[in-house]
Amino acid sequence: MSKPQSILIVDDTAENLTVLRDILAHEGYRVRPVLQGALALKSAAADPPDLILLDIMMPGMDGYETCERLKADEKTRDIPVLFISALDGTESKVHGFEVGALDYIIKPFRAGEVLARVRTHLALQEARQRLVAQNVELRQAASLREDVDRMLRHDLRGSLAGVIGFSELIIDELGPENESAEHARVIAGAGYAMLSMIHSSFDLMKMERGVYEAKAEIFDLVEVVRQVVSEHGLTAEQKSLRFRYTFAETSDEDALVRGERLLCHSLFHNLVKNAIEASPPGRSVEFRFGLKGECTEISIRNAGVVPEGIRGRFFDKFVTEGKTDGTGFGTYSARLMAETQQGSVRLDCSELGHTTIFVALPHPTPAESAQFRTARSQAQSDHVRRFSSIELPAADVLIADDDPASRAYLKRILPTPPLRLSFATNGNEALARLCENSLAVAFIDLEMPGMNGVELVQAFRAWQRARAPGTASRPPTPVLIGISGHHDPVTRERCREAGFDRLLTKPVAKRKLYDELKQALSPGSAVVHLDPAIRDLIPDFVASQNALLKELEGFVAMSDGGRLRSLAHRLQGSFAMYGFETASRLSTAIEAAGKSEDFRRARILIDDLRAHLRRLEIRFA
Amino acid sequence: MPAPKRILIIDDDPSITKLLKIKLEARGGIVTAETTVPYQAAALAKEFLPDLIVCDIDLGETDGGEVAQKISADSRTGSIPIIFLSSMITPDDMSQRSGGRRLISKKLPFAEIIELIIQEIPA
Repeated sequence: MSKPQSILIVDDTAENLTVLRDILAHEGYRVRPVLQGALALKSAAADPPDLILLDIMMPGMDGYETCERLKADEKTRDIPVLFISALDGTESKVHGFEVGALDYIIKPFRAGEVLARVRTHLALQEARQRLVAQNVELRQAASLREDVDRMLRHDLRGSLAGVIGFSELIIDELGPENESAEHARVIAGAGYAMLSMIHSSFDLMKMERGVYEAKAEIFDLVEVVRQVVSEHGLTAEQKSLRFRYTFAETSDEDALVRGERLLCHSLFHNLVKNAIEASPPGRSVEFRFGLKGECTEISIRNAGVVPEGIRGRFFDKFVTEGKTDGTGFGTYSARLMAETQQGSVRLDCSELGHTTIFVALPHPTPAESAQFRTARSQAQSDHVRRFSSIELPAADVLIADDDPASRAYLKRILPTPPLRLSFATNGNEALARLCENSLAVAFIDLEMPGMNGVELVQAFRAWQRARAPGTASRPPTPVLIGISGHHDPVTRERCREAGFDRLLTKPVAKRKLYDELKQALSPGSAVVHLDPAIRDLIPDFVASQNALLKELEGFVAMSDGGRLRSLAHRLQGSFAMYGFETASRLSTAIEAAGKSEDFRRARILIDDLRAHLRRLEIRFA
Repeated sequence: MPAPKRILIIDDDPSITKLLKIKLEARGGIVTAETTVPYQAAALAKEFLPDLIVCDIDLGETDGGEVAQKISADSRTGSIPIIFLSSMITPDDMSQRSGGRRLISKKLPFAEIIELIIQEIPA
């Protein structure tokens, strides 16, 4: 047996102590008898026993007080205390339990009862301690697993960004008709499929618990579905399947939704895979896009039949039939992903010999749709021009990323000249380059080993402040653009606080990168010329406007469109009168967002306005 | 040297009152008083006895029309001309008058706003 358990007995009567000690020692316990409450406290604190037997009526400190003090001391609070007393009234017992005792033995006691109770409470105490220890272990294991998950997810995402980005670049360069471009498309497709797996393996648990935060963006589902279909090209070819797209009630031949693009990619990846597998050879799989109430609805129809037995449970977990490699996870996760985006899925088997799955996802407001379509046609016409011919000014650009694939990707797609690129593989190198003060733009990976992106930018901003104390706004360059595998609000807020100007999420689309660069490098956009007569007013003015921006954010958080609008109106007026034209324009846009109660847009605009003010260089002329 | 012209500025946005004060006084021969608290405006007008009052329309808890009425109703300040300067006024609105009062849009270039105010100072 291991070390004998120790019991502290406290009683002012020496005879009682002797009797108790004999009973307990006979059973192999290590017994420490004490005659006073105060001594018991000292003894317990010096060498905590496994259990305490405590008399109540003692001169000086009585048993109740002794117990209270034991419970108040961190070192002794967890030791089980059993009262042993001649007081057998209910009140005495209740009070005993109130001050923290676990049990109450009445004098005169019988040896068997004392031993039985002591044994029980020692066993309980042991079990409790085991549970606590296990809990700690479990928590450590869980946190370790989450760390590994996060790293794996980030690293995978980073590498996949390279795979997808380079493949798309090859497709771009070769042109869509080229055979090698077709191969590159397969590679890109595999990359997207792996992204889907990351989603299903890591994010699904979050979705199940309802804590996954979907990134809301406006995009065209048709593009997503076409991409997914191209990923299944080989299987479809083997089965001689055809794909048909039809559109209802919309002449735009698109299906705009508000959701998370990559999540939709995974969602349709699963459903299209099922449809292809279920479809008999030589038939067609049809996609029909339309509107239904507040939602954009897409149906996937194939000539397969879902066995009657599983129709009612089609979207439940682990339901599968007739497939040897099925996990029963695909349709379940599709449903979960749809619901995470405020959408839904349903199965329709009413048509003989066919199966149709309907997916509904929220569609954007008419204004958002119009804006999206305008931006798209603009981007398409931009795309016609080759990237190298896009007009960018000569500028020094730093790329700070520890992942060679990410660096290579940026190096490949950023045109040199006119840009001059330099690279850093860790935070310290990057900081040194930033402090040389010749950079126009820096792309900074958030998750570098050692000094990470956030710490780097904090350090650099501190350096800037130390060099130019008392300036109202910080210098417009370099523009600091963060690149991260995460897009959650916490990350965004951390970046903003650290002093990033912008944050991009991996994988970064080429077009997005160009837009950012163009905006960051467009001359004059971050310089404002003001009347020298009002020079003294400016520091106060900028500070008070920033305070008002904080208020604006509050109104967004409260979804208070009325006050948002009226405060934005005021900002618009004062910015205009002081000569801050861009800021005034942005305020007008915030006012409009307040009017239409579009708080998401308002938040984005407020962020833009803040970033603009931060970057702004004020000149007096 | 003639006595300086006195202008009272009423706007609930302190950044605007400060800006107008600096730019108007920079012209020389002008002193201004300003308040961002609308219900103090009438009392301040009686005390300061300006030659011209520039008043915003959207004053938060009240509107410029009410403030102007109160000032005009008092025999000591009733004859002082009042201009409304507001971003609720569009440049197109400026040809009109409100209760006989001149309207100026805050959306005009700032230098123009100052010119228009100066023009309204009685000789």
